[in-house]
Formats: sequence, structure tokens, C-alpha cells
Amino acid sequence: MKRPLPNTEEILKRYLPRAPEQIMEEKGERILEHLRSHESHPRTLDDERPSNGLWRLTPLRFAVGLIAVAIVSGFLLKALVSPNNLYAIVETTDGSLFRVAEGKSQVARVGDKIGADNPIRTEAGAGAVLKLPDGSRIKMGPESEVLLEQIEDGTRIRLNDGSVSVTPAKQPAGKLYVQNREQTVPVVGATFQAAGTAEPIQTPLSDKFDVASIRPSTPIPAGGGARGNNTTALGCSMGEIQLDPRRFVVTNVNLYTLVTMAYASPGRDCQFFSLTDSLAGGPGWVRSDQFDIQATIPEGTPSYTATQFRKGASREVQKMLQALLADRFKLVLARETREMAGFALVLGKTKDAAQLAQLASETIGKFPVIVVQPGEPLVPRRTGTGDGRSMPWLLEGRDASMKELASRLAALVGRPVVDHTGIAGQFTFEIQYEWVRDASRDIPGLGRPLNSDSISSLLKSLEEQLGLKLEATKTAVEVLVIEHVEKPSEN
Amino acid sequence: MVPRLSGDGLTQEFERIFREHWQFVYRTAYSITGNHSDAEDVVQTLFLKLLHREMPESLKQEPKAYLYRAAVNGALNIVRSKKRQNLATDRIEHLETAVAQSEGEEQEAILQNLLDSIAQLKPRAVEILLLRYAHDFSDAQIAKMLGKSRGTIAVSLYRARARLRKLMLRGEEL
Repeated sequence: MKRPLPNTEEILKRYLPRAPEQIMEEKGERILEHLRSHESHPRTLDDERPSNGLWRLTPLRFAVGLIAVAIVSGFLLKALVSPNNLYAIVETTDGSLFRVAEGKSQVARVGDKIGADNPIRTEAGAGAVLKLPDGSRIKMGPESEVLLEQIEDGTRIRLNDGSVSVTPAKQPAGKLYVQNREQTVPVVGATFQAAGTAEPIQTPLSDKFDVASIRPSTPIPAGGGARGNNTTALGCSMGEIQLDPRRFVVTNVNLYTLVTMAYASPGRDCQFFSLTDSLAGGPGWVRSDQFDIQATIPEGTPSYTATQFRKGASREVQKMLQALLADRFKLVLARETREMAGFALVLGKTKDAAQLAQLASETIGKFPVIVVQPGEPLVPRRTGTGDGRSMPWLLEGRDASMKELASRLAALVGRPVVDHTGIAGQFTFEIQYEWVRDASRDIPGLGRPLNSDSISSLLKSLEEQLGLKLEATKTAVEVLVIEHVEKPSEN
Repeated sequence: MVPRLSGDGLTQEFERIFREHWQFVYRTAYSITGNHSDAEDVVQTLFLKLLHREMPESLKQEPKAYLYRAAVNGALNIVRSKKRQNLATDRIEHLETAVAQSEGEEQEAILQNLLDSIAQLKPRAVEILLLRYAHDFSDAQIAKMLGKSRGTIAVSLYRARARLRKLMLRGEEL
């Protein structure tokens, strides 16, 4: 029988996390160093605000100003009069799409305008369609990077990585070329396909840590803030990550987690890999043995936080980790597309976007919400206290696309979900479903999929409230397969 | 005025403020987030923001109180944001540590419930609870730091505990 909740004061005294001194000691200097590195490239309000001194007009500044105005006017004029002012609009995305501007990756969404000379990249398992002003379409495959270039007689699509399929417009504005590493080929005919990489996965050698050491983890004594075996049921380690502009440190992490970190992309973290079996192969120690890595990041590498790294949004550091794993663990990965049991999000009683919008609007405000943080996308929330056996939860979408809903549902049902609704656009809705308690300690919010009773309730609510269904199907999932790996020698 | 003097390094004033208070900020953030990575992010983000803006008057006058409030808010933002994204992984770090030490499912549930419930409290309630239970401040010390009377603090502390208990009882039904 369950004991009553202890006294609150006792709980606070006993359970409130307290940072262990010995782990804190080293952190202060490192954070200060990070702050200093930012200070060497300061961007303060002082920089942004014109001071009197800055704007004091001198002949030199006047001349520089005139030149600047002339240059800007030239660009503006060119942009206005040129019918071929090159850009592409993101028409659809299936997964994560990023554009790189000023050395930083930014998420690109449907409707975004991608200018020439801004590389755009899909992550593993993702795809996207870009539409050029004349109606030509560029379909990008997973892990592809393209760059649009305006050339004299048309447009050149530079394929830096991955693969593309190009469908020229019926009345093209100019010629289209695709350039990969070897050659530049004109696009002729209805559809043109080009590839940049081949299996197995080639690890770039240019992205490397300056210095790196790897050693097996040693369990930290009790009270040290971490524990020897910190691997969850999903196989992902809860080890610590420290990342600053020049230093990359992970402790108590198994190789399985390291590989998923190296190949993660937003929405595809270790839990995703584990839930969808997207990382396969390798001996048992890949999941059981833990390692500590300390590495120095080369100067000039874009700066990321540990949070960005965990979210798979630190491409350069991830590439360095990929290279390190290939070098020291002799890791060889292959990419496969496997069919696996999953679900397709399909139309039920909802037949089109207008009907969905109507149903979605009817769900808003229908259910009480305990914690409301407006404006956040697709968040499950608890909406009541329930009857002890079950508890109402809310899956809330704010301007969410059907692809986003499919991705969220995948995490809840623990299987890949692909969007087959054919409905474009974004919707705001609140689906209430029941989380049903069982003996499995399946606590919502811990990144575990729901239990079967809760999934049944979720699917029922999805159909009743939004007119959408999940149909069991075989779905193609990109899987990384560990073909070869060795334990690293200590250094 | 910004807290640095020139482009050749942090000012003495900035460094002094950092060195005097970063541990307090870190401990505060850790008690809310339950893991080192997020606590470090909170400290780093907070001081980076200070580098890039004018030093607020309240920071100059009461640096500890200012930084403490900023730390509570920053840590709550991180926890709530993760919760919204269903990214609870890192918060479990401390939880699982405690579980390993205590080897009890019940303790795991209590700690999870505690962290979830704290994340739902108002920042002011979290400030008072943490000063008492994470930093071991007396009522008088809390009153001085937050600029309130001891009576107000005693009442606020009582209410914060009561609210926390209510949230935990709700959470326990999970």
C-alpha cells in the first residue's frame, strides 16, 4: 500500500537537488573563459546605439557614407530591375531543414525565402522541396546541402552533399544546371536527379577536434552528482555534456548515445533513435560501457551551447564528434532504409483543410488546462487530477503542421508516424486524451511512449476531436547500422 | 554604463560580480533544473546577457538579489520549456542519481513530483523556498535579501509550502 506523502518541509530538506561542491569547482573558470571569449567579439547596446562621437561628420566619413549609399542603391536597383533575382521558397519540408547564414544554422520553414549563396541543408531522414521563382522545383533528399547561384544564362544548383531531384518549370526563366563535386550538368527533360554521396557514410576529415582524449568512465563516488551506470531503459546515457567555444567534454556516456549525438538533428535525439530502432548493430558494450571524452574545439568554430548540442543543432561540433568516433572507435556506419511497423496519419471524417480548421477551432477552450503557456507548439499537458486510475492530458498544437503533429504522435506512440493527410497549413487545437495508469511506471513527460491503454485513448480522441486517424502501416525509416567498431585505446 | 570598460577583456567590476555570485546562481539553478548542464547554461546565459546590456540599477544596488531572481527565472524557463517539448531527459540526471542511492521507486516518484511541482510554482514562491531549503537562509536573511519584513516572509513561506504540497498531491495521483 502506498504511504501518504511525507511532510513538505521534510521532502524539501531531503530531496531538493543541491549542487555538489566538487563538480562545481572547475565550472566557474570555464564559464568565465567563455564570457571572455564572447567579450573578444563584443556586441553590446553601445555598439548598436549611435553615440555622438560616432556620428560626428568628417569629410572622410561623408565620403565613405556616399560610397556606401551608392553601393546599397546599386544593389537595390539591381534587385528591383532584375527579373532573375534569385531565391527559392521552401514549399514543403519533411523533417528538419536548415539554412546557413553567417556561419550559423537557422531552421528553415515552409514559406521561407532562401536567397542565393545561402546554403540550405536537410538533416538525416529529412527532405524538402524548394520552388524557384519560375516554378522550377528542387527536391532535396536526406542530408543534402544545396546552394543556389545566379549565373549568366540562368541558375546553378550547387550540390555540396546528398542528392537532389530537379523538375524544371514549363516555361523556365533561364537555364538550370546542377553542379556536384565532379561536374556541372545542365538540367534537361522533365526531371533530373543527382547524387553527391555514396554509402557507406563518409566521415569528413576536415572537421576534427584539435586534441581529444577518450577514456572509460570511472564511477563517481556517492554524492558526486552522477552515477556509474546512468543508462535509461531506452539505452541512452544521462551523462553530462559541457560545451564552450573551445572545449567539448562528455562524461559517463555510452557509445550508443555518442553516435546518436553525432548524427542527431532536431527532433531526432537519442530517444528517437531508440524508439524507432534507427541505430542498429554493434556489440553489447556499445550500450553498456561508458566513456569520458575531453576535446579541444578548433578556433573559429561557431559557438554552441550544450543545449543546442543535445538538440542536434550544432553541425560543426557534431561533425567533429563523427570524425572522432571514426578515428578512435574505428566506427564504420552504413545508412540503410528499412521498412518498419509504424503508423500513417490519415484523414478520417475530416476530408480537407477547411474541415480540419473547423474541428480544430471547436477543440479550443473545451477542456480545462492546469498549466497554460500560450504560443508553444504541440505540448502534452495534464488537464485534471483524474480518478486515480486515469488522468486527462491535453495534446496542444499551436500553429502546428500535420507533419509536426505526426512527429509528436510518433514520440507518444513510440513508432514512426508519417503524414499522409495531404493537408498543408498550420492548425491550433487541443486534443484531450486519457493517460491510463498501469504497473509499468510509465510516467508521461519522461520521453517514454505511452502505454497501450493510453495510446488507445489518444487515437480515439484524435479521431473524435480532429477527424484524423492513425493507420498501421509499414514505413520507410532511415537507419544507421554499426558495421564495425572497436574499443578505443586509452591515451 | 555597461559592465565592461574596454574591448581587451572583462572589466574588474564584471569579474568581481561574477566571482562573488556565480556559485550562488549555479546552486540556485541546479536546485530547479536538477542537472549540471542546464545549471551551467543558466549561469552562462545570465552573465552573457549582462555583458550585452547596460547594467541595471537594481543589479548595481543589490547584485545578489538581482542575480538570484534572474537565476530562478532562467532556470524555471529552461525547465518549463523542456517540459513543453517533452524533453525531460536531463532533468532526470539528479533524479536517477537519487534513485541509485536510495534504490526506491517511491523516492523516484517523490523527487520527480517535487521538481515538476516546483516548476509550476510562481517564481516568487520558488525564490523563497530555495533560499530556505537550498541555501539554508533564515527568515531574517530571506527578508533582508528580498527587501520584505520577516512576517511577510514567514507567511509567504507557509503559503509556498502549502501550494507546493497541493501540487505534489495532485502530481501524486499520477
